[in-house]
Amino acid sequence: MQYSLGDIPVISPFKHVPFPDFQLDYLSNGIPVYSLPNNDYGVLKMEVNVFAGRFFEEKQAVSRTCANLLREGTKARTSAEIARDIDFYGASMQMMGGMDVIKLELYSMTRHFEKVLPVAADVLTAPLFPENELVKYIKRTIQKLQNDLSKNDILAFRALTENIFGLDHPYGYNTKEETLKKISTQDLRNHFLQTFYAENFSVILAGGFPEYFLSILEEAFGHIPKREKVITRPLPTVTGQQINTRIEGKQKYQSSVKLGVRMFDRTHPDYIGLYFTSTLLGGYFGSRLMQNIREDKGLTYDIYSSVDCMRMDGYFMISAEVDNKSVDQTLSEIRIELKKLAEEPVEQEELELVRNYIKGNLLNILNGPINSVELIRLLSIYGLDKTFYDEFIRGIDSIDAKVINELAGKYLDFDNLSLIICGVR
Amino acid sequence: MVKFEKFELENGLKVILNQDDQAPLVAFNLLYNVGSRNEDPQKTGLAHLFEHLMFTGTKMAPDFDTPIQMAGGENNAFTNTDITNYYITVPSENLEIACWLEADRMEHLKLGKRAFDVQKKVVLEEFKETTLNKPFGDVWHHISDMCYKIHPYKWPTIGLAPEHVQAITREDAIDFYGTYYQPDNAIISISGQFHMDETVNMIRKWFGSIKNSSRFSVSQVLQDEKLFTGAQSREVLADVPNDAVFLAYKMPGRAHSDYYAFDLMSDILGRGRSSRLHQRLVKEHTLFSNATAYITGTVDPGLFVVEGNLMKKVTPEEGITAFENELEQLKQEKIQMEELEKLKNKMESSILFSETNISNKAMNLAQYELLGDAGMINRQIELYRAVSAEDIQRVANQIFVPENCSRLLYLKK
Repeated sequence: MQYSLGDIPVISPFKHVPFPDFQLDYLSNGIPVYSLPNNDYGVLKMEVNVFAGRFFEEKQAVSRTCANLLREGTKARTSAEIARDIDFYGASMQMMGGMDVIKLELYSMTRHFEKVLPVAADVLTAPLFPENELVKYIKRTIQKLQNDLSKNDILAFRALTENIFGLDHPYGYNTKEETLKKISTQDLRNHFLQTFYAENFSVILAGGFPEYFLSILEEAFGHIPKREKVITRPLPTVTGQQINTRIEGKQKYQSSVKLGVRMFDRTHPDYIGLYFTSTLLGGYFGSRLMQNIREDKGLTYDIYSSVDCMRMDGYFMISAEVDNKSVDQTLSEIRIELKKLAEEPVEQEELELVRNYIKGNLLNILNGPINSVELIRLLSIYGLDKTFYDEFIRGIDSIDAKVINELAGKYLDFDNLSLIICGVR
Repeated sequence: MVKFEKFELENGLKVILNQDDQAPLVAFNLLYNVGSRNEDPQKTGLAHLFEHLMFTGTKMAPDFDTPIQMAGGENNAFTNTDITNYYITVPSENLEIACWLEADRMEHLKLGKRAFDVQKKVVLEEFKETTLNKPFGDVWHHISDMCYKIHPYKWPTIGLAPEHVQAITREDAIDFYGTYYQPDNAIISISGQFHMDETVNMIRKWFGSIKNSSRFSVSQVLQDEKLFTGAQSREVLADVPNDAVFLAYKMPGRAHSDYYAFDLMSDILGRGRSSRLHQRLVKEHTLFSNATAYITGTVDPGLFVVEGNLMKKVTPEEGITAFENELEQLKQEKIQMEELEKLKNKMESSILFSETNISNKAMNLAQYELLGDAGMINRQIELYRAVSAEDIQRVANQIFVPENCSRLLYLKK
C-alpha cells in the first residue's frame, strides 16, 4: 500500500517486564527447590545444579568427566538401562560439567515425571564410575578434542582464556589429551564424595508437575547427606596478563580474531553498566561492531562482543571470523570503535535502542515456563532473590551516556585487551 | 491442542492466528514459498542471498532492524531448499510495528546497489565460515550432488560454489523479488498474546492492498526424476581430524503418508542415548566417536541419512559394514513393541515441548499450512502413534537397496 510517514505506527514505550513468580521451598536436608508451575502444555523441565564444577575440582578436567560419567552406571542400573529408562518415557536427560556447577537437565512429559525422576535421582546419588566406561569415554573424548583442535575458532578461544586467567586457573586452563589420560575412576569418586552433598545442591522445577511435588522431590533428594564441615575453596590466583598471541591455524579461508580481558562477576557494581556498554558495542544486530564491520564494510558474517560471568569472575570478549586479508582492517575498525566508545558522547536514541533491546530480550528469555529456568538458575547459583532482577531493570533504565564513556575508558582500552589471531598468515 | 483462526486476503495471502497468553509477547512469522529449489542451476545461492537483501531497507523504513529493536523485539530469518522464513518476536503492544515492516518490505524493497554489494560480501564470508573453512563443511555439496541428478536439491542452499554467488547481479535479485515475494506466495502466522479483531484489522490494513504482480506462476512443477539414482560412491580426501562415513538413501517427500514411518525409523537408529547406533556402534563396539541417522524432511523426495565419525584405527569399510548391518536388521526383523512405544513417546514429548514456545508454534503453523493445512499441527501425535512395526519394516525394504544408496567416504589426508 502507498502510505505517508504519518501512517507509520508509533512504537509503544516499554511496559514492565514481569519476572516469573516462582516459589521457594526447602527439602528436609536444606536443598532449595525453586518451582514455577504452568500446566498448559503437559511438559516440564527439572534442573539440578551442584557446586561441583571446575572451580571445585582438585585435578584438571575431573569435574566434567565426573559429570559425564554419572550416567554411565549406578548401583541399581547399567549405563544402557539408564538410557533406556529415560528414553522409554519420551524424556531426555543432559549432564553438563561447567565452570561452577555440574548440571542435570531433565525434560519430561508431566504424566511420566514420576517414572523418570528416580533415574535422575539415581545418577546424582549412587553413581559407580565403572572403569570400562571411563576408558571408552576418554577414548571418545580425545577424538572429539582432536576434532575441536582443528578449528581456528576453538584454538583462539583456548588461547584467550589462558591469557586472561592463566594456565592453572580453573576458569583459564584447557583440557589436553594428557590431562584426560591422567584421570582415574578414583579421581571421579573423590570428586563426587567431596562435592555432592546437600549444601551444594539446588533444584528448579518449571512447567506441569503435581501439587505434591515436594514430597516426591523429598523422596528423590531429601536423603542426600549434609556435610558437617562445608569445604570452602580459596580464590585461585589469576596469573593471566595482556598478551598478544598469533596461532597458525589449519583452516585456510578465514582467521579467527578474538580480543578479551578479565572483568568481574555479576555482583560487581559496574556489571550492569558494562553489560549495557558491551551490548551497545557488539551485543545485538544493530550494535556498532555489527553495523560497521558487517553491514557497512562486509568484512565478516558475524562479529560480537560479550561479557561472560562465572560465579567468581568474568571476562569481556570481542570475536569474529574474517577473511585472512581483512584481519588488519577489522582490528583497526575495532580500535576506532573502542576509542569512540570511550570518548564520544552517545546519542539518546541509541541509548534508548539498547535499553529496549535488552528488556525485549529479557521478555523473550522469560517466554514460557521452560525458558524461565535460565533466569531462575542465575538467582539460585548466586543465592540472590527477586530484587536482583528489579535492580537489574532499574540499572538498565538509569544508564546514561557518561557512564558508557567512563566504563569504556576504564575497562575497554584496545591495548589492554589480549589479542589472539588464529589463521594462515 | 493448538487452537487457531485462519483466513485468506483477496490477494491470496494466507493468515493463521493462534492466541497464547503465557507472556505479553507475540511471534510474527512470515513464510515465503521459495527456497533454493526455485533457483536457476547457473545462479545457485540466490534465494539465501535474497534473504539477506530483505533486511536492507525501504524508503519508509531505511533500516529494517532499528524499529524492531526500538520496539523491544528481535528478528531473524532462514532459508532452506523449500522456504524462506522470516520471524519477529515483539512485545504485544508493538505488534503493528511488525505488520508494518513486513508489509512494507513485501512491496517496497529498495534493493540499492551499495547494500546489494555489501550483502554479497557478507554472504561470501558466510560461505567461507560455514562451508569452505569448516572441517566437513562441504559434505552436503557431495551428498546432494550424488543423490539428485536433475532436481535443484542437487545443490545446498548456500549455493553450489562461491563463484555462483559472486556472479549474481542486482538485476537477478530484482527479478527474483518480483517473481516470488508476492502475497499469494506467502503465509503469515502469529502466535502469542494479542487481540483477535484488532489483529485481523491490522493485517487487512497493512497487507490487504498489496497486489500480486508476479510475472509467472510460481507453482512451477519441478522436473521429476527417478526416485533411485543408482548406486553411487565417492571418496573425498581433506584436511579433517578424522575419517567419517555417510550413507544416503532417497525417500518420499514430506506430504507422503509414509513420512511418519521413515521419521520413526531414523529415530530407531539415531535418537537419544538408547538408540541403536549409539548403544551398539558408539558405546559397545567403539567404532564411531558419534553416529546418528536422520531424514531431511523436504517437500519433494528427500534423504534418509546415516552418518558417523570413525574412531582411529577403524577402517571406513568397517564403519560402512556396521551401518549396513543395522539397516539390514531393520529390513529383516520387525521392531519390538517396547522400542516402538519408546520412539512414539519421544516424538510426542518433542511435539509437546515445541508448543511451549510461541516462535516455534508460529513457524510450525505456517509450515503445515504450506503443506496444505495448518490443522495438521494437531494431528501429528496421532499420525506417529498410528505407525506399526510392519510399516517400518516395509519402508526399510523399500529404500535400503543397493540401487538407492549413495555413500560418501570423507577421509583424513
